Amino acid sequence: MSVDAPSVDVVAEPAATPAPRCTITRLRVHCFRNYAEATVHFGPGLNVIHGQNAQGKTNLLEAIATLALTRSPRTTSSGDLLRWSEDAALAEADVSRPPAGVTLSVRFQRDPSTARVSRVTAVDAKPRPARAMLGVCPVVLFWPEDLALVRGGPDGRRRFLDVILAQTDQQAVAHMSRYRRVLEQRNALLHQLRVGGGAPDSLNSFTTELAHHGAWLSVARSRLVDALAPLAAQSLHDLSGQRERITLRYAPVHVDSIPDSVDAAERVLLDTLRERGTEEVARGMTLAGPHRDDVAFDLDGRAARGTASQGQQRSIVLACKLAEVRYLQDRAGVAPVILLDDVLSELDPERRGRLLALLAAGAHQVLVTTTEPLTEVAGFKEVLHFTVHGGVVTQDER
Amino acid sequence: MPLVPEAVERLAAEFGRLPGIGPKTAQRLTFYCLRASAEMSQRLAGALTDLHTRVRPCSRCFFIADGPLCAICTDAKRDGSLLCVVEEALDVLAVERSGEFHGLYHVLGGALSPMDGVGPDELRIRELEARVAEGEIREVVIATDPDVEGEATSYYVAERLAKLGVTVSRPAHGLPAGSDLEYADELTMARAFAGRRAL
Repeated sequence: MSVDAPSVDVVAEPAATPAPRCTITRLRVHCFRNYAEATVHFGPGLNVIHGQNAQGKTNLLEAIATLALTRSPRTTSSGDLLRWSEDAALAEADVSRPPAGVTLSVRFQRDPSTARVSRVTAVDAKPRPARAMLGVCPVVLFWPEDLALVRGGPDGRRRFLDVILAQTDQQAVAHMSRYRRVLEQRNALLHQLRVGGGAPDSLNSFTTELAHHGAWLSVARSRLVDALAPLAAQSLHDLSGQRERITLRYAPVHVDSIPDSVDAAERVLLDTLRERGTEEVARGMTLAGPHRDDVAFDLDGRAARGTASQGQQRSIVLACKLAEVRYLQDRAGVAPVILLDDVLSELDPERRGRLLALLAAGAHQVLVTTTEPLTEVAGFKEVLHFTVHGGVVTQDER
Repeated sequence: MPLVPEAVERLAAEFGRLPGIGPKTAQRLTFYCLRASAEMSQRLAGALTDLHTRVRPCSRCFFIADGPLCAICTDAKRDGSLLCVVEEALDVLAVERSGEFHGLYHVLGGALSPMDGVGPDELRIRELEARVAEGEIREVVIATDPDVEGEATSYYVAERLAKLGVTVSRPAHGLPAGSDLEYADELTMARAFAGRRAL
């Protein structure tokens, strides 16, 4: 292109090179949920996984989410992942991403004597700690449960944040697992104190440890919400074209907002826990900390939970999931893989179309499960169709 | 009828109880003993028996000893004003390997864990207070594990000792020497940076 005008005024055509992205080229499951053995080769664009209920569609997406997050987002008991009467399960995926592709695998093994299920994670067939796998293949999972993000309980909103943190901040993962542990210990002690056992003078040491990890986690979540808020507002606009303003705010129970410094947040949490010690003993549980915090969604300055219509709430959920996609892309430097489990049928045709168009424009690899054949796939150049029946996956000839 | 004689099954089952020994290794060890001389088995059995008849906890620090006091407590060259608190006897060996510490030890016998029913009374904290109250100890280093339970225990012990007017310290968290930075986990790295020092 030759340009004679002064170069400062020239806006060049956007480069045609697509944004770097992460795609799953091959998934293998072995004795995983209802699968005895299956290998699926996915395309880089839209992958439609079609089948009746309870045939194993969701289990494929679960296997991918388990590889990306190192544990299943669907269950807290790894034993659920093992096929009936089997003692080991495997999920393995080839991930194509810059700078180099990798193979991720996670194996679950039940010890026959203790019935405990252990997990072994590996990158390129070499055992690596789970934290080394997190963030390698960023994914955004969107499933019917997410539709309750606004109106449902706060645990869904906390999980929404923690899944993002786990994929973008390795320190957060360490603090999360230590926080879970110290919370269990502190609650056990409070429970003992309530029934007249336990050592009252040892509560303070668990309070100190809890406040340390809790403050860190609250600050990380609060900063994440601040980063997601403008992305969600933009996404809502892109999705609906409407001018409603959505705002997100991290809403702790013990203080109006989390101080931005971890030290200050730790002091506030410590003070609260010490003040409420008697009440905590009476109830036998920890009453403040990130396990009780929430996220507030406001639409045009009013709490969306109470005032927004069903349709508006659904738009907010979609906007939040798109904000998640954009945040992960920004932090990971690659477009994340999108897993849509049975949600498209929950959306009206217009929202469905806009969502798919935005994902296609973002060059994401998208895996969709559906019970009804998906007809509109606007925007996607490469579309592959699969049918799942009784734990067997076949690629459809079209 | 079982495939192998009962004596073989029994030894394999006992080996299988040991930490880090799976059923296959237990079998291999059993068959090794079977092939080796009867004297070797006698020596092994004798060593195991002696372990409990000849070894007992040191009455002062609860490290392992073959008399009333352990080798560290009876060593006159040790600095009696310095005390290192650890969870288990094995931890004493870990600190000793460093060659950096020349004081005495106190083995707590675990860490606070309400979930497992372990409170202060289950640990040797009163014995620790009594030792410190004698007045000779000036500094106590609390070297409990850096996990949640170990950290809580260190806060607790520090609190209990505060009244006794003794200096209480905790070893710095740092990067493991002799390994690459990239292998340090995130919390270790963060703590090492938080505790950095000027050069």
